[in-house]
Amino acid sequence: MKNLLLLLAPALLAASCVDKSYDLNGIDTDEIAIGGDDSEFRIPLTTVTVALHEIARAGTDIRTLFDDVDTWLPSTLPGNADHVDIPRLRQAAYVSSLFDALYAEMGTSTAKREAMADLLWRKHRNEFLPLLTLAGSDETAFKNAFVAQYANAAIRSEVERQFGLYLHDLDSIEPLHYDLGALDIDDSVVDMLADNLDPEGTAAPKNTLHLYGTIGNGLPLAVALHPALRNTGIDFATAAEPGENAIAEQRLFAEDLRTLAAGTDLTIPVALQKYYPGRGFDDSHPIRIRLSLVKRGALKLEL
Amino acid sequence: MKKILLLLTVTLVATGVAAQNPTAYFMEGSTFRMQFNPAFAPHRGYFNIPVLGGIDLSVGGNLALGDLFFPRNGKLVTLLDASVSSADALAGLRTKNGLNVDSRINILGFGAYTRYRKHFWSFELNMRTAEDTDLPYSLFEFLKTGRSGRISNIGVSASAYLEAAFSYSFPLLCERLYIGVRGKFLAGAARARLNYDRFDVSLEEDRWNIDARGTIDFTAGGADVSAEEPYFKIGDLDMKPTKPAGYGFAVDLGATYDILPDLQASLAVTDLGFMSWSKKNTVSGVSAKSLEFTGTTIPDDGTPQPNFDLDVLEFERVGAGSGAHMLRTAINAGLEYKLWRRRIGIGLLYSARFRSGRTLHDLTGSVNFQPIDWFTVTGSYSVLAGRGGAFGIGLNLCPSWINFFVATDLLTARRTPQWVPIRQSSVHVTFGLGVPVGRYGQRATKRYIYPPAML
Repeated sequence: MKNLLLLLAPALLAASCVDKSYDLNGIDTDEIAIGGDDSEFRIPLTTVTVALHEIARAGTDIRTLFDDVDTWLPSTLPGNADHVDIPRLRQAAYVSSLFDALYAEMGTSTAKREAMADLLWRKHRNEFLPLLTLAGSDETAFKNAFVAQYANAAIRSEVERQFGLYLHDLDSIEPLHYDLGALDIDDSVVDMLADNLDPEGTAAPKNTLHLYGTIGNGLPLAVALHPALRNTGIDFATAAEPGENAIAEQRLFAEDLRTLAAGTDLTIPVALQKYYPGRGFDDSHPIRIRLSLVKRGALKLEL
Repeated sequence: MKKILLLLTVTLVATGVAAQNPTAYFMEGSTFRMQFNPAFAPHRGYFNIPVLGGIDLSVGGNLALGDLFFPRNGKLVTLLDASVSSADALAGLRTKNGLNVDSRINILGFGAYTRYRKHFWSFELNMRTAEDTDLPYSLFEFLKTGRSGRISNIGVSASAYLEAAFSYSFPLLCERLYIGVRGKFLAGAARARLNYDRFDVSLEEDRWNIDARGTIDFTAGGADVSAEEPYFKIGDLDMKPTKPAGYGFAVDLGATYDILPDLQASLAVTDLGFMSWSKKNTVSGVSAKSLEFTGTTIPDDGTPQPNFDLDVLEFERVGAGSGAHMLRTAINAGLEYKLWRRRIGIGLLYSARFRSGRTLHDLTGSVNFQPIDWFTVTGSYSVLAGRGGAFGIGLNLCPSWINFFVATDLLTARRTPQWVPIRQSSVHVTFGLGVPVGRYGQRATKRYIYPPAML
């Protein structure tokens, strides 16, 4: 019996297998992570709503600036274009083509002539009263005279001059400024995100953070925006047609993230690119910029 | 989130010691065998060595250590480590992952045959502990993939109580049938239960949302919280255990029946009862936390910004609910056939253990060699439903001067240097030391005294 036991015990022990790679004395919990290399975490960051009154020049908001544009412009643009190319309004040939189309329409449309007469009475009567040889300032007389004499060379010349002046500065809008306050995020969370990022210059980085978003443009305008966040590397140009527009991803690095979390300023120079006649301005559909972050790679936590 | 992960990691580390095996069931003559079925009895009366008389450690469930820990780059890391791919981490997990750790330590135990050597009684005082961990697949899926998840039923519970048991077994039907009953009076030492019935995480492009609801119950003598009410954290729990924090009662019912002289069937229900924890000694809390972040707004539209430090381990104290709960009832059904002048036995055991919300089924085949009355060696293989299998071996020595038994299924398993099996989800370690006293029972010599009609 003793021999049997002596044989049995070593045989069992020999059959067992100690795997030293599973030594529980050496458990490492330093790099706990949510997700893996293929993970993506998308985080809403901020929504900037740009009201109509903020898009302005010298205290005049954009709606006021564009109040009369549909009257000034011909109903059908040269070449049947659907928009006015605003940067080209500083080019004489382009302005002339628009003016010619305007006068052509006035030649065929009583309504357009009357609309122009109304516009000129409201905004430029002093310039036109001498040309129309009207002594008094009677509105009806002014409008009747303009409708009757609009084709007169002197009157046409003055209309063209005012047309040019009006359109010349139409693209000039002041930059927008916003104060992005600090995010109420625990420093440990910010550190966790920042410490996870591969530094600039890393070949084929897996742990990255990008800023991206959309611009919802409710204006009858296409705009070029150039947002820049102070003390960060975020400074990019993007264009926004009416409707929803994507903002391409902009890579952020650790310090950019810390600056964002601590609060910074957002400056957005605005340049008007296109005007789509006839759509009008609507207070409920201003410019809305949604910015989000996308973190690629695992969220590593050091417990 | 960081604190939750820390808690989860600690839980994984703490419960990584897993095991279970019913090898001892067919060790004839062992004093421990009565734990499976009170109709069983040792050959002779006994007195257990205090504390060493019967130590039983078992861990069950459907998680093996190898499902939770992975060797990577010369280190052993948890499945939450960045170096463990989501595919590797999730491969071994099921929809519901549970780990149950049980221990029974016999503090005092003795038993004896009655005058006519047919009836057997025993008394035991045991310290019992039980720990359950429930970790749903959806939790690990979220943590490993980072995708939104609806997570529910994350839970950890533990309890410890003293068990004073009196057993009695007796024969019927010309001793072909033995009936055993054990009544157990329970005195609760402490219990703790932490459960999150809802932990929804939504990480959408335009909205991050966390909605969590958890409850905690802590019962112990003089249980209280040291923090200013109504909020407290786990570290604020305090106790002054000068008296039991709950009481309970349970019975074990068992029977053995000799179908043939060499074929015995056995059936038992154990731990059929309840424990009622004192409301007065219970601290209960609810943690209902939610966070929704859709980004800041410029200009500020007045939407309050959430506090990202969502402390889901902070609880609001509430009145304690019902503290009564059922014990972990088990059913053991066995069949053993004796061969070769009853020196070899072939046994089959079915066990069902009822846990909260699920039942674990095990089937064990066993070969038992008993060359002489006081020596039994048993080899077994258990099929653990959906959880693999386990080889076990047991040894029982009960000559006239000592009772010694040991049984385990650790020996043949691939294991860690700390003797924790890596792939085996269940392990059982049983050990006992005692002194035989008093008269032998008739059951020990039954094969020699069967009436001629049965031989």
